[in-house]
Amino acid sequence: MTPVVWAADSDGPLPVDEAFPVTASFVGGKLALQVGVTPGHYLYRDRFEFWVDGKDIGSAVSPKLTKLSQHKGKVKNDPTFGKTTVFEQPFVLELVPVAATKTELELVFQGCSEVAGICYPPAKRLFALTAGTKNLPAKALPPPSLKNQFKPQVSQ
Amino acid sequence: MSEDVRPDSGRPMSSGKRALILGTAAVAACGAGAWGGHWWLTRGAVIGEEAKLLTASFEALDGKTTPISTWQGKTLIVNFWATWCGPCREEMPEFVKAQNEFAAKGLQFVGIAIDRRAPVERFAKNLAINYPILLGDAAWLEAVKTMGNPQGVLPFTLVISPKSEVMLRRVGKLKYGEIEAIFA
Repeated sequence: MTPVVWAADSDGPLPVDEAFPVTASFVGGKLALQVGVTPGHYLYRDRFEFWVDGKDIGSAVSPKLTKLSQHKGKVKNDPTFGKTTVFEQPFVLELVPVAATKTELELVFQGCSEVAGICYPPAKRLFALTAGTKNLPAKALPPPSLKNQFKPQVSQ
Repeated sequence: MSEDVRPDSGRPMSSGKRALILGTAAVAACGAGAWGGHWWLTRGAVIGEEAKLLTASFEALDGKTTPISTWQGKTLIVNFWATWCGPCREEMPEFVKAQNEFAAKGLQFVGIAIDRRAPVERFAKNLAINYPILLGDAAWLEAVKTMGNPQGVLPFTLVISPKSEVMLRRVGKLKYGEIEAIFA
């Protein structure tokens, strides 16, 4: 049996918030997410979930979302899941209008790094927004339960 | 390992890392015996929660609670994976092949799926996986951060010697050639 050298990689994959920096804005009653995607990485469209003030407003494919703007994503033919849409470029996601002057937005997202050959587990982030806020960075929340993620349309 | 490119990324390797790997390879060349004398392997051979992993039990696909210690004395390759992880799924056919090829030399793969049972069962059946698949909860994604996988990403693989020393920690895909090299 041949000994193997230590193969830990000190450079490793980027932290998830560097791979996918997300900021939120709340201007004129409209919630918007500016979603960054570092080159060589991608986010799954169907794995976004959103809560506004604790209320589930659905996934990225929900009709409740007013607009999935600027970037429609790219269709990947996944050998297990079939056709899945991924975002390989930064994009802006406009969410439901909110009447209040402050609001909390929770976001779940999941993506992978093509360059590192890895996938990140789902990440959950919180934005505490007041009217007029622009480009607010997220606060990390504990990761979501895997039982609630990867719903049938994705993993079955 | 003499290539000058990160195996998983295609990006150039830093000079510091290159020196570390070449240095350890040089020490490896001077080592005596299969395991003895390889101080860089035995010194701190188990880090973080790896000791907990080696004594942990998991639910197997057959529903039985199965301790990792079941395979003590084998060259154990523990692969954390999920069906929602494309790179994980891509490397597994080679694991099936390696399990066939090197079982007689003491290789035992064990997959720990951080996932729901139904898609794991379906994937394992479709791929005709020939090694045990266990179900791990999401807490293991935190635990692996102490095992040389600071971002808690998948796939993540540990190669553990028959003496329960961790020979290799791999964030990202483990290649067939690397498995082959263990038994050369």
